[in-house]
This record gives sequence, structure tokens and C-alpha cells, in this order.
Amino acid sequence: MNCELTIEYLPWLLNGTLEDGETKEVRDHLAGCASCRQALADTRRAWEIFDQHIPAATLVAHAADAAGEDLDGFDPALLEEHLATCAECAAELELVRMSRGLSEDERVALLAPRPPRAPAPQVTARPISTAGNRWRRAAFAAGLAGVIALGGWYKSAERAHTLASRLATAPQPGVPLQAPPPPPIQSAADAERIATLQRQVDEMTKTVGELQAAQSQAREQLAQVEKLGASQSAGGPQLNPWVGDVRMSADVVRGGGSGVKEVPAGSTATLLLAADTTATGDREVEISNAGGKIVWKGSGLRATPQGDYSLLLPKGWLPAGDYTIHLYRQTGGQRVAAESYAIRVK
Amino acid sequence: MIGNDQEVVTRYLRGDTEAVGTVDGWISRAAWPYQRRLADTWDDVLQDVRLEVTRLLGQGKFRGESSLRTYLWRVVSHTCLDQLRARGKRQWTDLEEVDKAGNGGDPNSQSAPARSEDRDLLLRVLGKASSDCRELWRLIVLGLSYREMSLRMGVAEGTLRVRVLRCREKAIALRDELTGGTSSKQRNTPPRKTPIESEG
Repeated sequence: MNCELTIEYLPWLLNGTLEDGETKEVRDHLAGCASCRQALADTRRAWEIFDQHIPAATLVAHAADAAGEDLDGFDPALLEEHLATCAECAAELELVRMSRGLSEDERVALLAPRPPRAPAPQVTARPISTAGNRWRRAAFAAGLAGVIALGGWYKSAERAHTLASRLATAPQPGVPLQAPPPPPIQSAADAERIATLQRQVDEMTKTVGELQAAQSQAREQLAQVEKLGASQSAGGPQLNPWVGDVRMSADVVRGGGSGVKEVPAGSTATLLLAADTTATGDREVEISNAGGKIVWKGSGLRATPQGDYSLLLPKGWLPAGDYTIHLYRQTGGQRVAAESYAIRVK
Repeated sequence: MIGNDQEVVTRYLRGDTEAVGTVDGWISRAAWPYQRRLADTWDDVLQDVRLEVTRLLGQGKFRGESSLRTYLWRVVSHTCLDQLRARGKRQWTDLEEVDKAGNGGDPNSQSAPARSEDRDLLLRVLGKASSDCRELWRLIVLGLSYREMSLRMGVAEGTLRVRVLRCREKAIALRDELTGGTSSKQRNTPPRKTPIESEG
């Protein structure tokens, strides 16, 4: 190994990390080379320079931060300069400051340091059994047994209670089942509501009965109308026929007042004429054609409770054309014209 | 309840249980931050601190210039820092035969002058060194091999060794400059190749 390589290896010769072969070669070279031994001395000095740190006493004095504190003769500016560039000294200073803070502030609770681990017991050596140890073991065993017994007793009591409850609610064999208990007594409000509903049901039942009677009557009248229609088709209109449905339809014409009401010629027509309800009594009816010739006369036309006159014109009884229906009433023994209605059969 | 610090010291030195408990409590609180970094030797360090406190109090070193609690904190911190640094300090490889060959027997004779140099001077030299040089030498002091440093820094081994050598030369030159001594570069720098040549 030459001088150049030897000098390069010197720092690692000092920190002991050269391999064995390298160490031997460097040592052998140093033993015979004064120049390289001088380089070794310089390497040691360099080591000390680069391994230089603030003395511990100075760091502690700096952390004390007391006015006029002597930094052990250390230049404060140099100290600050080194602290700014040396992470190790800065970390140590923080440790010292933390130590001071904990030392002076009793309010900070510290965890107790973990006790050193006890050496593992020898496998072959049994621990010495003393009277105290035996007593403690016996007490522990008794306590454990007590806990187990207490748990068993509790579970047994709980199970017995459950079985007793089930037996109390189960039906007895051979005893007939009793009727279910009556429903609870209704309140006054419920009773009143039930009565109201019952009255409504009764009224609806009565209405249904009346409607059924009216329907039966209507069927009878319809049969009569058909019968009369067939028998009187040559005789002329029928006065006061029963009109069950007052809705407008092809064969029901509402008339009255001014204007001409058209009447279909091909079917039986029922005329509902607006009646003068101020005058009571029957009306005489005259139907005249457009020439004024009376084509039909009748009497006994009565107003319905709804204020209408009903007049049935048989199918095909009037030929197409314009007609006028004249109504007359009797006043003081004299025949007086009351209303008139114009119709057109087409 | 113990009255003043001197009474605590007196009773502590007599072995009074309450005084011993008080002092030990203060020591434990002050030493707590160092516990983690001194984990494996913690009990021994704490015992060293107790012995040191007993020794100092027994010698009357506590003069009441500060409170006893503060005085104990100083002792604890000083002792623990010394322990920490002793743990991190890498001892030089024993080169007794080399040193004997050089100066006739005293292995520490060459480094003794450096150790006794004014620490202010060494810190000033260090302050003038570049951050790269400080980092290189920090890793050396920590005990890394040049191969480990080469891998860590991504630099060829030869280049790394030359850089370290340059840093050493600069540091010694700075020290000589500050002390007015002879440049060691003139003394022991052999002719060498450039860093590029060295890498080959």
C-alpha cells in the first residue's frame, strides 16, 4: 500500500471500520512511514475538530438562562453559532431544558419508569414454599371457588324462576278452557256513537224500502202507459202521465214560454209544460195546427207538485208540422185562456 | 414537612427517609427526559447520579446560591449528558504499535496537544468548516465505513475518501491559521491524483 492510499484510509482506520486486510496493510505501512504517521496525527486532530461540541456544563448553564450566568468561560456568540449548525448539541439542549422544566413544575405527572425485568426463574428450581405462600394460594383458591359457586347458584335461581313462571301460565290438564273475558265496558262516547250509527242504518234501510216501493209503482205505471198508449194511439194524447225521470232526453221535451219546442214524430213524446202555479185548478187542453184548426181537445190537466204539466203524445199521432197547445182554466164559471205552448213535430 | 434546603441536605446525609424520598423525587423528575436515550443503562446512570449527588452534598459543594432543586437538576443533567456523550463517542482504534514506532512509546502523545487545545479554538475552526465536510466527518465519527458512506451519499468510494482528505486538510489548515502554526498540508500531504483519477 502506498502513502496516498494509506492517508485516505486513515479516518476509517481510526473509527475501526476497515476490513482486516486493509487494516493490516495500513498498519504495516504506518510502521515504516514517518510522513504517514504525521498524517495520522493530523487525522486525529481533524477528528477532534469535527467531533467538537459544547461542553455539558456550558449547555446546562445556558439552559439555566439566569441573568449573568457564567457559561463556564464560553463565548455566548460562539455557543449560539454552534447551536445553529449542530443538531446534536441543539437536541441535547432541548433535553436539558425539558429536564429543568420537569424539575421545577410539579404539576406535570410523570409515568413511573418501568421496573427492570426480573430474571427468568430457573426451570429446575422450585420456588421455596413458605407458610405465607401457602396461605395466599389457599385464599386465592377459596375465593375462586366462591365465585364459581355464586355464579352457579345465580344461574340455578334464574332457571327455577323461569320454570315457575311458565307453569303458572300453562293450562291445567283436564280443566275445560274458560270463556274469554268479556270485553271491557264501553265508554259513554262510544255508546252514543254506536247509537248514531244505528239510527243512520235504520234511515237508510227505510229509504231503500221507499225506493223499492217507488220502483215497483213506476213499473206498474209504465205498464199502464204502454197499455194506454197501445189503446189510445188513435184517440189522442194522455194527460198527466207519470214522469219518473225529468232529465232531458229524446222523448221528453221541456216547454213553456216563448219559442217553439221540437217534438220527434217517430216516437211517443212526453211534454213537460211549465205551469202557472199561481192559479190552481185543472186545465182544459186544446191542440191546434198551424191553420188554427183544433186537432185535439181534453180536460183534467193538473200541475204536478214540481210545477209542471205532463202531456203524452202517442207515437205517430200528430203529423209533422207546427202546433199550438192551448190551456184554459175555469174562473167564475167562465172558460179563460191560461197558457199556450208552440211545438213542432218533425 | 421539611423546611429549608440546608435542612433537607442535612437530613438527607443522615439517611432521613423523608429527605431521601424528597431528593430522590427531584432527581427522578430531572432525569426523566434522559431515560429513553439511556434505556439499557438507565438504572446504572440513575444510581451514578445518586452517588454523585451524595458525594457533592457530602463535600459541601451545595452552597445555597440556587435552590437545592435547581442544584440537583444541574448535577443530573451534567451527569446524564456525560453518559450520553460517552455512549456516542467512538473510541479510536488502538494503534499502540504505530504510536510507539513514531515517538517512542506514548500512544496519546500526539493527540494530547489537540485535546488540551482551547475548545473555543476548535469550535471556531469547526464553525468555519463547510457543512459538507462536517457531515462527512460526522458520519466517520458515528462509525460508518467508507463503503457505507459511499452508498448513503451516492458517491464513488475513491471520490469519497479524497473528499474526506480534503476536509481534513482544510480543517488543519484553519487551525494552524488561527493558531499561527505551520500548515500541516506542507508537512504530510503526498502527491496524489485528482478525485476522478482516484475513482478509477
